Amino acid sequence: MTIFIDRRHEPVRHKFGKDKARFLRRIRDAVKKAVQDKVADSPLAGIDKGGVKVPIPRKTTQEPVIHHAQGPVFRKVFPGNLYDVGDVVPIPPSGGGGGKGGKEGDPDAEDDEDAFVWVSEDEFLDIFFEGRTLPDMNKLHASSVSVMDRQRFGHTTKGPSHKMDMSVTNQKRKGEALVLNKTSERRILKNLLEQYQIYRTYRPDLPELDLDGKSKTETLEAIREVLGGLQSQFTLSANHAYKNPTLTAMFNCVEMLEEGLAHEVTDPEDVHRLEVLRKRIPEQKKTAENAKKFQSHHLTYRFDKEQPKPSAKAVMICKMDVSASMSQEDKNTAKAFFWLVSKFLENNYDEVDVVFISHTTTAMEVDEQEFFYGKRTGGTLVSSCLEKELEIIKDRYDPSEWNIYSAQASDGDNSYMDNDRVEELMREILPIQQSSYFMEVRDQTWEISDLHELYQSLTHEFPQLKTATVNSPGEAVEAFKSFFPVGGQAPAHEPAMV
Amino acid sequence: MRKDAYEIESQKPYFQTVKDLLDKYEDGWNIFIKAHEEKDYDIPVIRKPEFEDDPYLPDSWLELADRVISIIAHEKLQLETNPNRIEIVRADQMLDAYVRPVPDGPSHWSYGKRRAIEQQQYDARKHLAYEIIINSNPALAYCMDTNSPVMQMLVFAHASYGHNAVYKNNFLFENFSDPDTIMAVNQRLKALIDECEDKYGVDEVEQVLDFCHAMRFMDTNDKPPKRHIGKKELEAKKTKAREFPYLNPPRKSVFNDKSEGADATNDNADYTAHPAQGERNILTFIADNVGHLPRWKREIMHLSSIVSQNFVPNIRTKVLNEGFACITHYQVMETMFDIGLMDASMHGEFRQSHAGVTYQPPGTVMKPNPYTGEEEEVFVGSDINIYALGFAIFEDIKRICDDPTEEDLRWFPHFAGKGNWEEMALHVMESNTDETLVQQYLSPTVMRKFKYFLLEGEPEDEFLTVSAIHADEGFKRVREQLAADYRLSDKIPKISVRDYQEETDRCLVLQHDVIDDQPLDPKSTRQILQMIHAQTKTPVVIESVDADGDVVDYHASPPDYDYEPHRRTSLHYDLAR
Repeated sequence: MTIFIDRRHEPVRHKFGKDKARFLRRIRDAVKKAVQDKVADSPLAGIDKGGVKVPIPRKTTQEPVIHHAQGPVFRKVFPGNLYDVGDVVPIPPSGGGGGKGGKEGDPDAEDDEDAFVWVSEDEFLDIFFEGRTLPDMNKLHASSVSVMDRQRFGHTTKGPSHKMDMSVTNQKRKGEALVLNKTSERRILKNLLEQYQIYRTYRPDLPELDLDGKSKTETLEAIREVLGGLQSQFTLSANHAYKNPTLTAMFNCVEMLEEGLAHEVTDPEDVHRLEVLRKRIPEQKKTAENAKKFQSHHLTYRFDKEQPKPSAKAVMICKMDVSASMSQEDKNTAKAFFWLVSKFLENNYDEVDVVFISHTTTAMEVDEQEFFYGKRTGGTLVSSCLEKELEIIKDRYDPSEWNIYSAQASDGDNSYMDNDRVEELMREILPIQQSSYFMEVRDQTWEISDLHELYQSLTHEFPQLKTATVNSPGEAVEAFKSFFPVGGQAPAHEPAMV
Repeated sequence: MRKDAYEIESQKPYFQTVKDLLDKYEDGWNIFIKAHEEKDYDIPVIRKPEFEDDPYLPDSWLELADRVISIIAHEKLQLETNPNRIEIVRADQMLDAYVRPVPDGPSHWSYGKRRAIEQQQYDARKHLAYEIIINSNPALAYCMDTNSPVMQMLVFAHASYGHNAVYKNNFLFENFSDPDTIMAVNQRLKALIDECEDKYGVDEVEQVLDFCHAMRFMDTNDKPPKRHIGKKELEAKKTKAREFPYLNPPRKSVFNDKSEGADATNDNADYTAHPAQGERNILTFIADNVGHLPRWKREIMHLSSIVSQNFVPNIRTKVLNEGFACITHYQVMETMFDIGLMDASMHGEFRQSHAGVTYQPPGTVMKPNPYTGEEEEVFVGSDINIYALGFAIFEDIKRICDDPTEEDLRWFPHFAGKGNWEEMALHVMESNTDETLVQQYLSPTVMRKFKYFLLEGEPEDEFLTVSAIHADEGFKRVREQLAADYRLSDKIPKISVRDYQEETDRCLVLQHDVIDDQPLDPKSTRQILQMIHAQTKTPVVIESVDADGDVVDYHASPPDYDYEPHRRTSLHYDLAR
């Protein structure tokens, strides 16, 4: 008989998710390099589109298998003959050079040059961020509930089969079986005693059997005594064997009496009563046997209740100078950095808000598109941007509830008059922030700007402020790596420099 | 429908069974033709009102097709099969099934890699196999959802009845594979590995799995499992050992070690064979005998060896398996056409698919001559299509049984012209491997059909010599060589346990029997020895031994291991062999 299973409408299960994760783990160096190249090379909009194409490195993914090398003799049968014995033919391109059996399972024969694996954003970010930790994170708050978590919450009597708690279910059954077994034994004993008493009315010489108020052992002794007395008068054809010795003895007694005295019982009322009692025994036995089986009311399921989970929330404030002096290439560099930091935050926090502030001499909050592509003209006043940031934080992001991160990209130009105001504002903002990153987009061979110098002087007082000079998206990735080193925080007193 | 064929077929008993089944449906006889016309194998099948309640009647077109095919396969072709389990799958599920030998196995990075490569190839070519079948009980077949109704019927007949019959009846499968337990063993392996990953870490377990994968072709027995030795036989063995002590010399130990004094010069005289000498299942040998291995590693090695063991028969019966499956689907489909279940259009589609499967690409292509510019045939040496070869052999057995020529009577006197080809085909399928199938049943007709010829030469030369062709005098040579091409031991190095020096440095000595002067590939051999060394923490040596018992080559891990391969090449050594 054939079993048919139609799997066409099954949802797409990532059955190979685990295998793929293992594989990516194996080639993680290649993945990291591919991600870095991708971030460095891709145009502004395309960083997070699709996945990354990672070429499969041959060295780490070899699967050696025992095989022959090329032997000294080549001998093989081919189809499609055009020749006669003794003719010579050129070595065919396939199969000729490889020798016999050499090709099968040969790790070198597999064409790894063009082999690649597509790695989705989530997968490569996991690998890229592996081991990197956020400094000073986690203000946990359950008050503004948005993340729910299913947690164990006792047991119920109804539920899906995979949630069944076998240990509790079995315990219930065992408990019930214990009670029911005792009850049914007691009932059977009572039943048998009544039968005995009926027989005794016909044979008064039978010993008296009064079990009232007797303990377990006393009962057993009394019945065994009676049984011993009966065995001298009657014969026992079938010996009953129960777990309970009392019942065994009593059954044997009644059995003997039934065989020996059944014809002497004449009163129709007694005959009827005996018949009823005898018929009742199988039912009474059944109660005990049923108690061993699982009943529907034994079934117990684990219950999961949705409960609010303390969630960590973070806001990232991206600030960029969009004055004419920032070229599109500079913005690309900034974008690579902003993108990495925001993804990293998303990886670490349950909820991440991203705020974009672009500024010239005035600052305004904009959307992502405007932030990276919008162009405005004018000079530069960094203080305007910091004022705006402070305003937004006070307005919307209570520092006691939110983890606040900010990243600033600038070419370092700022009005000379403005620097004092900037320092004043930074001293106000930095204490309420988890971390603050400043990136100067300019050639590293140049002297650092006054603004950068000002920020560097602040890093001694506020270790959460990190600064770097970068010139290309690749360097932005390096800067990110130095800001978030694997295995913990960089030494706080040294400004992280690339 | 062919009129005269219908007349004959309708007299046979199976026809009545098919008719009884299809008569229970509205328009039952045309149900397959209807599906073909609508290009949909999900068309509803409607029972006649009086059979509404019969629980044993198929409810869908697929089940009905399978039922009809099973009647023809079992009753007309007399096949015996295991029960079937057929899963209709999408491309992504098929790709998942491609990657693992058995579904629901343990996770390993190599499956992830293979899946990525398969996906890439699928994206480029958009072509997948029509079916995959796994030798379990019930036999698990994956069929593509994109197969047309005709193709789906062909695939059922091919995999679920053709291959399945080989799995059930062939002697190799009977002796070497255990379809009843393979799934359970695989699940046990998966559970064990999941547990060990929790306990000992992913990296540690991955190393063991890598090692098990690298031991491919060295993790199976080439003999059937050991049978129970009776008391009498054991006594006889003991007597023999007493009478001929050199056959079973005493084990070397500290108590009878005569290496000091005068005997020290003659080292070979003390050599005693290791009891496990000749053991082919090296993975299990390591799991059982090597010290310093935790229990869980031994268990993983054992289980993965059992899983591998199940696939030994598949490697050795490729031509036989495909040939028998092809002749089965061919016969089933032709029968369905003969009794009118298929129309000419379906028959055409079936013949086209069948011809595609059993197509043997020519060994030559037309290319312009670089000097003259004229088109001419150039030899490129295409590989032999095992479907074509297998099908042709079985087809020819049928022809020889029914309508032999004088040549056939000379070559195959024991069955030519005797009729009853079904029985003969079953007999051939039950008792052969690829090697013996070609050796015994490749007829001159088949050889002329494919124009087989033998090329010989040295790989360093630019040219190869044609040493035998499909003529009468060359026939035997070509057949001999073709059989040898399918001999497993020629393709896969024959490695066995030579010695395990438990008393000294626990060096594991393996032996490679050299055939046709083929050396081992040094690079991969070195890698594998290193992997064995990493697991056993003891030196490993592999000796290449030629037919005379001389050690011609050896590899060792570590490479500078102080090992004397020639110290045992003596008379005693030969006797011990």
